[in-house]
Amino acid sequence: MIREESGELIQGTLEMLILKALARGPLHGYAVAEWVEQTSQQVLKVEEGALYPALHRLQLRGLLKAEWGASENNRRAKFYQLTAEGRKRLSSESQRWARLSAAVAFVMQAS
Amino acid sequence: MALNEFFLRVKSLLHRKIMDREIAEELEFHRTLLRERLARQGVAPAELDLATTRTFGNQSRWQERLTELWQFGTLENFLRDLSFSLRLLRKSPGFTAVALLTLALGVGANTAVFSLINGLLLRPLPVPHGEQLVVLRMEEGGPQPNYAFCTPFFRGLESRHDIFADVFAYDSDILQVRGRTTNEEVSGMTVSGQFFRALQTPPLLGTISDPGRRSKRRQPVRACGGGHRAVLGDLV
Repeated sequence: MIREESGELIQGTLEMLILKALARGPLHGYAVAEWVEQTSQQVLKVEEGALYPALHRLQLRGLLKAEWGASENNRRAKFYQLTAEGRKRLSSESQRWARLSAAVAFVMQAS
Repeated sequence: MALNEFFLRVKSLLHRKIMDREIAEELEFHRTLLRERLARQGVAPAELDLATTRTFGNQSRWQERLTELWQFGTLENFLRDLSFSLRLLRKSPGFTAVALLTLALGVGANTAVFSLINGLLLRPLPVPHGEQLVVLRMEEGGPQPNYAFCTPFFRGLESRHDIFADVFAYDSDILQVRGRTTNEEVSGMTVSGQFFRALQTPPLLGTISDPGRRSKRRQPVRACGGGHRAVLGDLV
């Protein structure tokens, strides 16, 4: 799973982050992990043991499709890409997340 | 399971080898990039392998988990169990033979008993409203119920129509019929006057005279079962 400095993120969040990472275009698994880590400023670490099962699950559910292509340094790599359904899921997931995180923040700020 | 998912799983089932190789290749690619990053971060070449493994974790375990993800879990496990059982059975033919024989005999005996019970007890007679027919018997405290009634008692039952529309007596018997050359034995039934009316089934040939007249003569009507149409035509 994804680990924060303290504890784990809510389950299902990894799939949402993967969809988000792929929203800008096709990426291979390593690049997805790297993007999430860099964008979160090294707070979120994506473990390989969770990353690939999540990618394959999303592919099975038809939210992603995969194609083999050449990587930056010309190695053969499996590139994942959002499907139309994946895009739909991403937008509904980000709305849900925005509502949820705002609500949690709201609760935590209460005095 | 969505249709799309089903097809993907079938595809992976048909191309299991390619699938396994692709998963291995995908993980290997990740591992290589990880190793390069660790090298860039200044890990000594001697420790590079160990450090990569420590970060990456157990590659064969990831491989296994990914393969499982693509399988039809229950079905494929079931098929594996099935082939395993078949192998075991083939290895001990004696046991297999005994087991098969026991099963065959058991199933056969059960089927036979059931068809008998079904024919005799469960299925009603093939006459109109066969489900309304009942067999009367007398219980007099003895171990066996009595299905035979003395004639005056039976005539009493026969003449009342408040409980049953019709009442008849029957008795299976071997009857002797005179054939063209010799006498023949025919299994038949002695029945009383209301038999055909109660079963709402006309005789195959001929007519049955009025039960009232019959009862005056106190002669039982004889009826032969089906399959003796010729006899009926000749003699009755």
